[in-house]
Formats: sequence, structure tokens, C-alpha cells
Amino acid sequence: MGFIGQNGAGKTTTLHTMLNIKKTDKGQIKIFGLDHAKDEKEIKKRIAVVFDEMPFHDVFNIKDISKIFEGLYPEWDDAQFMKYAERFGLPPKQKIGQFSKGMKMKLQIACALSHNAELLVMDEATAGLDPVVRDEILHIFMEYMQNGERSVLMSSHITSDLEKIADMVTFIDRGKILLSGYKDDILGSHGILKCDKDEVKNIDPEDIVSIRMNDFGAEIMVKDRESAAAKYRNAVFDAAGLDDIMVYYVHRDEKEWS
Amino acid sequence: MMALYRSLVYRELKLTRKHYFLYLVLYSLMGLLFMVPLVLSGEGSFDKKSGLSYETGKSIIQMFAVLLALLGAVTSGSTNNVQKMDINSGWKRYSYTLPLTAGEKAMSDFLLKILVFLLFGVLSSVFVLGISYGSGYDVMCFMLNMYLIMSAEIWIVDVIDSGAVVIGLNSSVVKSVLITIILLTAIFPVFGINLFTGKITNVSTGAEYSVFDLAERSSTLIFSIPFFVVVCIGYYLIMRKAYERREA
Repeated sequence: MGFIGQNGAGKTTTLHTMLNIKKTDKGQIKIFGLDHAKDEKEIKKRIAVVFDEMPFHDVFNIKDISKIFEGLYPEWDDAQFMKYAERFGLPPKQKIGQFSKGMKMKLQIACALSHNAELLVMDEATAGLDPVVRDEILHIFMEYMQNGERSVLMSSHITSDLEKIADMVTFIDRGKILLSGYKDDILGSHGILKCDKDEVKNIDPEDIVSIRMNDFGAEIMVKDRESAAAKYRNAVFDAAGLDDIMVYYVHRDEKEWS
Repeated sequence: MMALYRSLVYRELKLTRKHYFLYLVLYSLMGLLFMVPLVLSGEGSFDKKSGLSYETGKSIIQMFAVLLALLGAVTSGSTNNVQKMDINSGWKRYSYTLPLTAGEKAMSDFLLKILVFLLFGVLSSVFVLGISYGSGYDVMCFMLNMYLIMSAEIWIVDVIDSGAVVIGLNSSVVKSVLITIILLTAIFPVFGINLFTGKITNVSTGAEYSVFDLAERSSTLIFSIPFFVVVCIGYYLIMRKAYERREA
């Protein structure tokens, strides 16, 4: 599942609260049907987390990391970890402080994938990486999910990554879920209607998410592209990407923006 | 469970090994400096060769033992900055995503400290054995009492400092509090102990004892060992509480 929203929307806060890094004010969080605070240890044996920044000390090397993690997770697979390290080109004796940003991220991912976690939680894990490394990492995630018993919850504002790998998408803004569902359904139902500025008044407000005005006319995000196409037969419709959906939903209260 | 603590202690030891190694070398050099001349000069020869009275000779040898105990306690007990390093590297936040309880984190901090405490304790004992052999004054019990009590005091300061770091309190505020506590302890007699004069007053009889006189009695171990054990338990409980705290 892709977890998207603009900066400050509450993605990291949501993940930190889920992981019991932050306290909850009220309510209850369940992961695998277990209480996130009471059953914390049990849950954390079954999940893996990748943050946007490297959490390991610079003085360690791959072998140190392996020694540390083998005691932390009952299902730690050292051979698997070394296999990933080799595949990612991580030198076993070099200090982590000398790794590049991409290598550090790969190391975090190697740790996350080496204890048979059922849920992989990633917080902006691909931010700051070049497209080649991002693509490689996304490919690894797809491989990891192949057995059908593992899931990835990936928070990102790089929607192109999610368009590649996510089956489902949840979009949040100001701490509230605005949209959640299968990515293809969301992409299929939304569309951008293009028309002249004076034709905007003919569009039913119920169909509109928000309207972007520009020098050439208006671009209207509609929630139900199929029914809008039937209603407004002469209008031109463009497909909407996750980026478009995010931008138009962020401006939903203004209705008209430019 | 053993594998878990082995991993955690290995991590902390790897981070602090340079810090402890440097202290260990300096401490060993100091200990050898005290011990070797006495051992080489022959068994029990200190007061005979120096021409000092028995009491003066004993005071000098006790000062050697106090210095060994004090420096051993400070080097083994003072903060090793693991908590600060963990915050700076992002490990503290990451550790909340691992299957670790606050008690396990506190226990690993404690285990590393107690290991270093034991190491310096053994070293101090070896040096004091040599000093006792060379000087003819038995200061082993004296040194052990001093080491235990001073270590306990250093641990108290460390747990306040480290606990505050873990819960995110401003370190300058913590340092001010610690300095105030130390000054107040020095200025006012606490529980009949005056740190300026080194005298202990029996509150019920008014009789005064020297700290040195009490420290050389083996019966004082009945007080110093439980005192250190209580501080160890306190250390664990405070660190556990600090690790239980979550961001608001």
C-alpha cells in the first residue's frame, strides 16, 4: 500500500504512532489484530522498518550489523543478509560511515528483508535516491512480496514509485484520510475535465474535486470520470495521475485555484 | 535471551571500546606507578625504608588506595555517552521499531556498566594486592569500600545524566541540577557526613569518626555492598522508565 500526502500531511506521524514511537492521545491501533502498545514486542518481531535516514552508527561494518541483528530477531537469517549485502555490493569490512547514501539505504533494506518480516514499513525510504537506485530498490520490494504473504506499507511523496509498485493507495491530508482503495480504481475513476472558463458554471459541483484556472481555460478534477464523460459529452478528459489527484485534493477547500 | 543481551552489549561495547580502552591504559599506568616501586623494594619495607611512623606510612598508602578507588570509580562509572550517540545516529528512534522492551534496553546499559565496573574492580584489587605486599599495610578492604561507595555515587550522577538524555531533557538544565546537588552535599552535612572534613557523626551519640577509619573496617562492607546494589537497582529502574517514555 502506498501512503501519500504532501509534506506535513501526517504520514510520518501516522507511521510513528503505529510503531509506538509516538504516544497516542486517544483511540486504538491494531496490527495483525494485536494492540500496538500492549503487544508491541510480538508485533515488532513480525515487521521491519526502513526510515529515510540511516539509523546505524558510522563505526559499524556489515559484520557488526549482522552480529547485532542476529540476537535481536528470532528469525534472523544471516545467510540471507549476507546474500543481500553481496547483491547490493556492500563491502563487509568497510565502515558504514564511508558508504554512499544509496548504499546506506540498501543496508537498511537488507536488514529489513532478512528476518522474514510479514510487513515492511517504509517512511520516505526512496527520497533522495537517484532514479537508478530507486528502481533497483522497488524491484527488490516486488520480489519480496511475490510469495503473497508479505506486504509493504510505503509512505512517499514520490508518487511515480507508488504507481510502479502499489496495489492500493491511501491519501492523507492534514492528518485525515481523503482517499483509500485500489490504485487502479482510484486512477480509473478520477479524470481531468478541460473546458473554457465560462463553461465551469455548467459542471455539477458534486462532480468536482477542485478547479485549476489557467490562461487557456479551466482544468477540473472529477471524482467519477465515467459518469462525467456521459454527462458532459463535448468536454475533453485527460487521465489523472496520483500526483494530479494529490494536488487537486489538497486544494479541495478552495475549489478554484491557479 | 542470552543472544539478545550478547548482541546489545556487543553493540554498546563496540561504540565505547575506544573510550574505555584509553581509560584502561591510563589507569593501568597509574596503578603500575604506585605498585611497582613498592613491590620492587621488597615485602613490607615501606615504613622501614622511608623512616616514617606507622600511622604516617599507613596514611600515605591509604592515599594510594583512595586514588586508585576514585579513579577506578570515575573511569568505570562516568557516562560513556552511548545514549547521546544513539540519539545522534538515529538508533534511538530506530530501536523502537525493534522487538526490544524498555527493560531489555536498560539491562544492556546496566550490563555494560557492571562489566566495566568489575574489570576496574579486579584491576584495582590487583594493584592494591601489590601495594599491600610491598608496603606491609593491608588496604584491600579499605580500597574495596572506597571503590564501592565512590562508584555508587558516580553511577547516581550518570543515571541522572543518561536518563535525562533518553527522555530528551536539556542537558544544561541537568548539569545545573547535578552541580547544585553536589554543592549542597558538600556544604551541608548529609546524614551526618561532612564531605569537607571527612568526618562522620553518629547522630545518636554525637561521636565523630574519620571516613578512613570506617572504610578500613571489613564490617563497613555490610553497608557499602548493599548501598552499591541499591544504586544498581535504581540505575536499572530509572533507565527502564526513561526508555519507556515515548515522544508526545
